[in-house]
Amino acid sequence: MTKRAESRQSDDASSAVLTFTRNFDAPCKRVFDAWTNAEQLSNWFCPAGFTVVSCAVDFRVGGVFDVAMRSSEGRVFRWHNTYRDIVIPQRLAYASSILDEAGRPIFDAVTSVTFRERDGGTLLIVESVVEKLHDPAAAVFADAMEPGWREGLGNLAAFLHRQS
Amino acid sequence: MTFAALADPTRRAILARLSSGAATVSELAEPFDMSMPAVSKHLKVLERAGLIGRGREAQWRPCRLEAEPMKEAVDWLETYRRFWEDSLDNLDAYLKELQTAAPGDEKPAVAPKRKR
Repeated sequence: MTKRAESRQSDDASSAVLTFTRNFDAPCKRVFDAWTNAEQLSNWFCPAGFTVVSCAVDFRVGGVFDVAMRSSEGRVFRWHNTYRDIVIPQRLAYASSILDEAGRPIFDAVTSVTFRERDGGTLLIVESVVEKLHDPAAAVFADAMEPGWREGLGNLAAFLHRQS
Repeated sequence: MTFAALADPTRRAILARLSSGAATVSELAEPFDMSMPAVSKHLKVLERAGLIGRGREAQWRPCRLEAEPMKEAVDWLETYRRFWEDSLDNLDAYLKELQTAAPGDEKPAVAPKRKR
């Protein structure tokens, strides 16, 4: 059973941090493989409404894993990720540049993923630091996401309280 | 950058307060048990980030939310959060498929691509 993700922003003064914690009913090695094998990554590494169209993994520190995903409207976005740290099967860290179909950067982030053995399953912690938003291109990606979930300014207060 | 301005809990609380209407510095200071200069410092950060505007009316200078940049930043963080929530949901479903396809197998067969 998946525990609901918790997300928050840290008090870090320089960037926004999102943290997600999940429990998976599978051993660390299997979850780690799903993160680091191109074939397996292409089964899950995209949001709802998107399909992974290509995935390549050069599994070494300094190597790149690159995932291209297509929205339901046919727009293609690329997640270009460079490994910074690999500890099998416990930890991954990578720097990401997310690019639009013309190869223009949308935003940069640094993500670390921790895999912890817990009761035969895996506790997964994903921490992603949004370092730079290449304004206003980010809106392009936001618009390509599934309609219906984007909340208007009316829900801003709720959003901000949730993040506190 | 907008995200730095959003990263501080006091600043987020100030923005939440302003989302229900403009307010003066003293009105903003009150619920936080903070000095006016401390609040002013936060307001300057928010103003520089383009998230709030200050009125020109004499010493009152009420603060108000600048809707567009604020919405853009919030939308973006929500988008990114959603990316992870969705992907991790997919991962959970994918791992369950593997489990079903090859229970106890350390080298699971590759499951058919999930249709989304």
